[in-house]
Amino acid sequence: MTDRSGISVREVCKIFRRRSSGADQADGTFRAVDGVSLEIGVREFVSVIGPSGCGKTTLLRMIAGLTKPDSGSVHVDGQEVRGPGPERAMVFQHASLLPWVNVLNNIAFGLKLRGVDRKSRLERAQQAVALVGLDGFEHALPRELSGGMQQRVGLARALVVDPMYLLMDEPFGSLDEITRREMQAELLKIWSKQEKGAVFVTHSVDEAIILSDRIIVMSSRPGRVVADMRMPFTSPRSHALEQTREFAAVRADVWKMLGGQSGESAGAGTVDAVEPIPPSPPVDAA
Amino acid sequence: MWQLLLPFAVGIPLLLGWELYARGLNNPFVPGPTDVVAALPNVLGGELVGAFVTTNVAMLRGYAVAAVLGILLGLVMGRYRLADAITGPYLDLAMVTPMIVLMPIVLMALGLNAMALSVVVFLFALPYIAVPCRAGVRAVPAESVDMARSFGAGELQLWREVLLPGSLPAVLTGLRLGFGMAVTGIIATELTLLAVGLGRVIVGYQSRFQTDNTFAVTLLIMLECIVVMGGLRLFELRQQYRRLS
Repeated sequence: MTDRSGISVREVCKIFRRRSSGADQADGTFRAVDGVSLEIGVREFVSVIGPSGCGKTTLLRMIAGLTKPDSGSVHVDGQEVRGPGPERAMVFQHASLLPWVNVLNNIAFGLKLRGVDRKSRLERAQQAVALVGLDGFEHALPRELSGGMQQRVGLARALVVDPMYLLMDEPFGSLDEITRREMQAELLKIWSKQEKGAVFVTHSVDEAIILSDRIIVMSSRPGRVVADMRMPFTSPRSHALEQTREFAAVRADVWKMLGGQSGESAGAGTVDAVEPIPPSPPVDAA
Repeated sequence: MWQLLLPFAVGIPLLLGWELYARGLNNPFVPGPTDVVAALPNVLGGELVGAFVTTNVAMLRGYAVAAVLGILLGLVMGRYRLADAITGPYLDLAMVTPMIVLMPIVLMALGLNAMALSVVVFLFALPYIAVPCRAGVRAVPAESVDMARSFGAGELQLWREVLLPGSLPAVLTGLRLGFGMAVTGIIATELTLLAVGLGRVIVGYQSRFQTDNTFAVTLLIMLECIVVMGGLRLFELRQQYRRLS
């Protein structure tokens, strides 16, 4: 059992070349991620929220090992990230299921890539089917599934490889609101039984608040951490929480952090207008 | 199943129209469908079988090489930008150049022999196999590739698990198109430059103004194409069926 110490993001930068617009640097590049540092605890659920283009997906991809930072580094459980690894698994916004393969085999895909034999991986996939509530659909093809069901398959696929950290890139972003809330409830239920860490990228403030232990607010152009907010709620949670005054207060605070940037497209000035909160130390929830 | 008969809704009226037109003209050089079918016994004989073999052997040699190289080239170009930058312009040029123009040059360079015929077939077929393969690889969503990479897939695994299965329909399309072009290439050459095989047979009938026999041979060539294309299509459908398990 490796020593788990969490995810450590240290001063990472990612620069992209772009057609110039007002906010970009003179040399035609822009800093998608600009000196971001972050600590994520071993069993923490951390959401990253921010306007479009704030670099949150780029940040997630750097943690996943799909993109290399231009400077700075990411360490997971003490090891520097040089590419994808078995301790991290990703859930994508559009499920990215293999269309020629049925649900069971899609779920087992990660295991197949890691060389797990057929019998074992199908058994484990079958358990994951039950976990995400897809019983009866094991042999369905992706095109026969609704968006919500496809996302469940994507989630099961990530869970079945038993990663230490789940990295989710707006996994419910393409779903309608009703399905979205169902999926949030499912995730809360699944999460209460897991001992994993998670980084969850989202556009939705309410979603971030209900699901997370901590919320990281990012600004766009350049992509920087603007706030690191610990959620004062206990676990386990349910959507009933949304009706409480506490929730409303937290929601107002988060919007304030985000609001400093809304409606503006100019870069640095907007970010400076918001007072950054020093990051709270990560807590290993017992 | 009955849907297979739908094309006949167009085919039968066309054949009827042709038959009536030919009867109306009553010109011995303009055969109707019944004349063509009646000419089949004249045409089927030892000479024809030998001609079919000669032509097909030359064609299949060129086609086989075009298939292997075309698929490899197309897949590599689809995935690796550097390869596409280097060879892409040539492929695009080959697509728009009427290969018929190159036929005489190839035969002059290599001589009037079977090998030259196969080279012509190769040139005709290659671009039409490679280009769909390239498109097929590119059509595999980048997110699927990212997804596989995120679960630790190496390049070889990416090809085996994602890129090849994903581009298979496009590869089969390329093989079908390439086959059509291969047949065009061999017949065109045999009709115009090097009278061997089926080309010689057709030219023979034409020179004696036996249009019904000419059409009959053409019909047989078309039947061969239908069988091959149908076979490829069936293979593709079976692959889709197998994936359902």
